[in-house]
Amino acid sequence: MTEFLDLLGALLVFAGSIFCLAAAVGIVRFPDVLTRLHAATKPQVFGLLLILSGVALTLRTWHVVVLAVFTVGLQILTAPVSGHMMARTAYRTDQWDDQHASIDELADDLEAAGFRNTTDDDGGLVAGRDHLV
Amino acid sequence: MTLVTQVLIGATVVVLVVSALFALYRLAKGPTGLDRGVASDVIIAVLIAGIATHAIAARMSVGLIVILILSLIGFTSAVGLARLITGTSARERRFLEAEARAANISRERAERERLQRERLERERAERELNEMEGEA
Repeated sequence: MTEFLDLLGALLVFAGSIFCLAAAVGIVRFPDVLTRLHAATKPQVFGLLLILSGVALTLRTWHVVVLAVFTVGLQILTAPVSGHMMARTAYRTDQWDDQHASIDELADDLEAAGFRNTTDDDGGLVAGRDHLV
Repeated sequence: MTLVTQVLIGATVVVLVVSALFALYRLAKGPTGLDRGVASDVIIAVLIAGIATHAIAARMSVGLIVILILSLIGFTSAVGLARLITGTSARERRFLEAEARAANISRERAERERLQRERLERERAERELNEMEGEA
């Protein structure tokens, strides 16, 4: 029984590390900050959940279980904050690939609210425009 | 610990090292600072997974406190970086150039005023000297 639980714990930790590998391959291969962020936040919550389940199944004490539950709860509270802030900065400073994005609901919402993204008025590469300073 | 479990733990370690190397590649190459912030977040996640793997392999739960603390404050670097990054759009570049020009203009104006003041003082000193010579 204990060996079966140990095996199950090792399997769960291995699955969590496969999530980390998927995130790493994603941030190497994806073309844009927002898509890389989408890949990178996967091991932060779900990978951690799998890994800590594995640890709790292997070290079968209540101390470990309480710590694991606390850690997963705190990670769920804090990981979306970092992802949200990075996506917000990437959108506002125009560092994302808006030519290949098919849906941009935030731009529609902002236009409906009367706000124009102020980094739009310069294409950056319009010939002669930069000499008008 | 059975052989299958040991093989699984070894495979986990290999997979985590490979993930960390990929994330380091993005950390080095990432064209923007936000890419590097994302890569550092992934490295923190890999670190947490590595500590958990050690906890399983050595059957010691002392690393779980470290995991707790990492999950508590591991997001602050990304948030701070995201808060302080501004894009270098052409509009901001124009603003910086205008600011530099305004600084130059104000510096020239301060210089001119200083020279004018010195000239006025010199003239006043000469006038006083002439008056004293006139009296004498």
